[in-house]
Amino acid sequence: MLASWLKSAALGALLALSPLATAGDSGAGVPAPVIQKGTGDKCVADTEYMRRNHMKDLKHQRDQTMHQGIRTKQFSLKNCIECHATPDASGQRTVLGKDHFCQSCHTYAAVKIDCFQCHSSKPEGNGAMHPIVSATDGPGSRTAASMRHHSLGKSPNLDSPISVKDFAGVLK
Amino acid sequence: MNNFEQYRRRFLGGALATAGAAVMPGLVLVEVAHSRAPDEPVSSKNRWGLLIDTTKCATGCNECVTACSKENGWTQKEVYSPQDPQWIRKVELTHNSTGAKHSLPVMCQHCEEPPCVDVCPTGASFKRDDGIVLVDRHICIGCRYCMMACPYKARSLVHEDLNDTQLARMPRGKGCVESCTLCMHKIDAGDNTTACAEACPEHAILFGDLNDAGSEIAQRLAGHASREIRADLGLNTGVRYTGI
Repeated sequence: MLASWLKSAALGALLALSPLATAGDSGAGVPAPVIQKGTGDKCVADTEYMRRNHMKDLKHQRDQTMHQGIRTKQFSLKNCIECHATPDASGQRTVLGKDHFCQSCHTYAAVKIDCFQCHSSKPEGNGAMHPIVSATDGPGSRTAASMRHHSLGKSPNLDSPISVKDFAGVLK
Repeated sequence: MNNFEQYRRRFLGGALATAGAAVMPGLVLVEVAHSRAPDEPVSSKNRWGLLIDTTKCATGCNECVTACSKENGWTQKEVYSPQDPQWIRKVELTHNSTGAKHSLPVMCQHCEEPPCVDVCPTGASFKRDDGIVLVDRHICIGCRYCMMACPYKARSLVHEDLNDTQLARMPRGKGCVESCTLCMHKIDAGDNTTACAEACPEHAILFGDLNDAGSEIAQRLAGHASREIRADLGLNTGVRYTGI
């Protein structure tokens, strides 16, 4: 009886000291992303929307800018960089670096992006003022649903579950 | 605000809207030359082009090339090697029999029927509705077929890593083909000029809208003889030359 209690106590102590148990908040061994606050009061859309859809908006805007010369600021990559660039060790404002907002979150989500193989990671402006969003008004106050309508036009509701109808004629 | 005040505001608002609707349909009070709004797509109403006066272009002057390099972030080396990026270059011509010399800049000629677009296997080479021929680097696979097809030798491939030296206004990347964009970022911003045209000390390069009969470029093209390089190919270039 005593021996089995001792054994389980020792196992508990071992577990408590093991790196897995002390890894911190996530507990799964993957460090949580570092979220650095960007310049300006708020993002161009609410956080919940941006988390789910920033990649779709960026890609949509990318094609519009390239092929149609549309250069609205809201979802332009250049505009993201203006606000989200933070100083690195040498003081240069950049969106690169393993502890930066972009990369740290993409590492957490196991996503590899290649935007910055071609696009400059450094902002053009000084980032002193948020270029398009003010504290009082601006698109940041819109709801996720209205934003989606605005940015994606007639595309399907991205949050709705995929139905068989969506693949009609594709999977058969 | 009392009820009467609310009623008054609603009434005035309605009256103003009706007045606005009565003036607006089909009636433009003053036609103002305006630049495109940021959310307005480019259209075939415009066709951007250049007119280069080779009689003004000075032998040995390289200002347009330097300005292009600075504006778009590509670097020129002291001695050109065929693997270097080159968006614009100066060409010196000598007439075989008379010995007459000409100097002129050559860049992407922004053809109406661009051979580079014809041959591109991925659709990366394309012509924007306003006549600017571009490479969509998101789609380019670096096969260089367009470089072989271009009769003007206007395109180059980025062979080396750029190590984050690109400018925010002009993304560039290793493994992609690139060429003159007619400073589309300046056109989109409504600047109505290009870096080379701005930099030319002799004002030998004129930028403008070939479709706008009132523009200086269209009037000069209508009033003076001009030439396309390799006009025999029937590509209808957006870049025209006088004096050659």
